[in-house]
Amino acid sequence: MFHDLDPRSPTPLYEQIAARVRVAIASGELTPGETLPSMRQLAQRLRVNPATVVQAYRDLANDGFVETRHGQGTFVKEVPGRVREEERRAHALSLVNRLLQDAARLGIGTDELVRAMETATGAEIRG
Amino acid sequence: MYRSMLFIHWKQIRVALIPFVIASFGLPVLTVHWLGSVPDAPQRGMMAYRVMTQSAQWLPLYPLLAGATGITLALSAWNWDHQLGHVYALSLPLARWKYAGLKMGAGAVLALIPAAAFWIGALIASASVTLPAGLHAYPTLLAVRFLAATLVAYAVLFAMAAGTIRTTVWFVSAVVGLLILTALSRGLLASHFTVFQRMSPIEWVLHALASLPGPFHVFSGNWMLIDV
Amino acid sequence: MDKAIELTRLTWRAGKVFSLDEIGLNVPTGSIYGFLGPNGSGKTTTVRLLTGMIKPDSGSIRVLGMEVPGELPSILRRVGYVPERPHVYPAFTAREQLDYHASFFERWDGGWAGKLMTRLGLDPSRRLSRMSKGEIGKLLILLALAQRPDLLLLDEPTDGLDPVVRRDVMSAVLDCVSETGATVFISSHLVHELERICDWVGVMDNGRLLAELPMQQFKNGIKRIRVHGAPELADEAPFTLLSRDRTNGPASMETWIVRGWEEPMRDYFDRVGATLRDVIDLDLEESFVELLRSSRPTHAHEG
Repeated sequence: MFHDLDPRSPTPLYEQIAARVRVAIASGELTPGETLPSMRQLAQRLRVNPATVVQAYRDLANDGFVETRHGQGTFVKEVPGRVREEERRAHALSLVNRLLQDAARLGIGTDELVRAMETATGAEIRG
Repeated sequence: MYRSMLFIHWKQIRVALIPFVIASFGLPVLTVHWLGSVPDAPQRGMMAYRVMTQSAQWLPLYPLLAGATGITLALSAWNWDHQLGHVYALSLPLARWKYAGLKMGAGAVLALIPAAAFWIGALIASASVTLPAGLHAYPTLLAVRFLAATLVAYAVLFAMAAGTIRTTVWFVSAVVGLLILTALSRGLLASHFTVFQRMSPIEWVLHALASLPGPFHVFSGNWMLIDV
Repeated sequence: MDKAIELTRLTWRAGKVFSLDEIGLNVPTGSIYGFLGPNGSGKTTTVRLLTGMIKPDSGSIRVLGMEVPGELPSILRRVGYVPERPHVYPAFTAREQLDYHASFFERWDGGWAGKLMTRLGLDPSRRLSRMSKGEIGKLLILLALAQRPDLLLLDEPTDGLDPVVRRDVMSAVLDCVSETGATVFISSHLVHELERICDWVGVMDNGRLLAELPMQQFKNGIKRIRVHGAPELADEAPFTLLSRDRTNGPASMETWIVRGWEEPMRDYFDRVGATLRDVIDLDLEESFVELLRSSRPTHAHEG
C-alpha cells in the first residue's frame, strides 16, 4: 500500500503516510473496524523512523480517521460520507496538480492533456 | 567480569601452557633421575657429594623456567588486545586500571597450573629416590619458590606488555641490544674487573638485583631440591 | 537532559594535514541523527573523541549529560558502540563473544540477545574468524543492542555489507528505537540509506561541520531551479545561490542550486526579468553533494 513513499518530496514522510491512509479509508480500501499495522511493524516495513509513524497515526487520530486504543492497536473509524467525499476530491486534485506540473515542465498544454484524457478514457470531457 | 577475564586469558594461553606444564613437571624428576640409585653404605659420603653436584648442575634451569613461564603468561595476557588495537578494551565501561587489574589477577591464577605441575613433579622426584643420610628433600618449599618467581616475572612483564606494541618492541630491542653489547664487551671488562671473569655483566646486574631484599630475592637463593 | 550528545568548540589536530576545527554538534535526545560526510572528513575521529579513545586539544564533550573523559565508565555503560572496524576477538565463537560482552554490562538482556541471534540468522557456535563480513556486522549490532543502551553510536555500521544484511541491521536498530526510544547517532557516507530514517542531519567536510538541522529542512532547503534569461549578478536574491551552471541545455537556460528556497521567492525572477522554468526537489544525496560542492573552493570557473 505504501510502495510509492517518496523521501525526495517536500511533503514530510509522516504526512505522506497519513494521506495514503486517509485515501484508503475514503475509497473503502480500508474498512471501519479494520486494524492498521502496529506503529512498530509499519516502521519496520517502511524502513522509517518509528517517530514518523507515531506522528502519522497521531494526525490520523486527530482528524478522526482512526482510533488508537492502548494495548490493542489502531483501528479505522467510521468516517461520515461527506468527509470521505472531500478526501477523495482533495486527492484527485493533488493527482491532477502533479500531472499539470509534469506537463508544464515538458511544455504540454492543458488542451493537449484534455484530448489525451478523452482518448485514454474513451469519454468526452468537454461538452 | 573476572570470570570472563580468566576465560579469555585461558583461551589465549592454553596451548602455549602445555610445554611449560610438561617442563615444570619434568625438571625436578629429571634432576633426580639423572642420579640413578643409591649405592652401598661405604660409598655414601661420595654419594652425598655426587647428589649435591649433580643437582647444582641443574640449578640454573629452575629460576629460568619460572621466569620463562611468567613472561609467557604476561605476554599472552595482552596478545589479543594488541592485535585489535585495544579498541574493545577502551569501549568497555571499566576504568583502564581496573581492567588491567582484573586481567593481572586472572593470569596470576593461571600461574597455579605450571606451579602445581612442578609441585607434583617435585613430590614424585623426592619420593622416588632413597636419599643418603644427611640430605633432605624440599619439594613443597621449592614449589612455592617456583610459584613466587613465576609471579614476579609475570608482574614485571605484565606492566611492560600493557603498553603499546611499539613500546614492547622498543623494550625487547633494548634488552637484546644490551645482551649483545655485554657479550662483546665482556673480554674488555674482564681485564679490568676480576668479577667479570666469573660472570657476565648481565649476570652481575641480575645477581645484584636478586641479592637486594625484595621480590627479586626469590630468583637467587636456594633452588636445590635436595639439600642438607 | 535534552541533548544526548553535545560538542562545544571541539578542536583536534594531528600533524599539519588534518584537523577538526571548532566542531559544535548537538544531538537531541530520542532523535535519529545522521552524521554525513565523505571519507576522511573527520567523522570517525569525532566518534573516537566521543568515546574518549582520543583526547581533544580544546573544547568540551558531553554525552548523556556527562563529561568525557571524567565520567567515562558511567557513560560507556549506557552507550552501544559499533566501531568502523570490528573490535571483537576472532578466536571466540559467537556465543563466547556474547558471554564475554555480557559480563561487563549490567543491563544486558540475554533473552533479547537470543532473539536477535535467531532473527539475524547467526550461529552461536561459529568462530568469528570464520564468519563473513556480513555476519560480523550483524554480530556487532547485536552486541550493541542487547546492552539496552540509551545511546547507539554507530560508525559506518553497514559499510561494505550487502543490501540484505544492511536491511537486517537497520531493521534491528529501528526495532530498538521503537521499543526503548534510544537516541541513535549514525555516521555514514551511504547517504540514501539514512534518508528515510534520520530526523536530524549533520554534515561534515574537511574537519568542519557544514550544517546541522532537521532532516526535513535540509532536504527541502536545497533545490535545483531552471532559469531562463537569468541576470548576470544575483546579489539581491532572497535565497542563497550555491552554484549556477550555464553549460547544460540551450544558451539562455541556466541551472541554479539554491538554499533556503520558498515559494513566494518566484517574484524575484519576475522582478529581474527572468523566467523561472522549474523547481526541482533534490533527494538527500543530491542535497548533500550540492552542499559539499558549494562549500569547497572552486578551482574551475563557473559556467
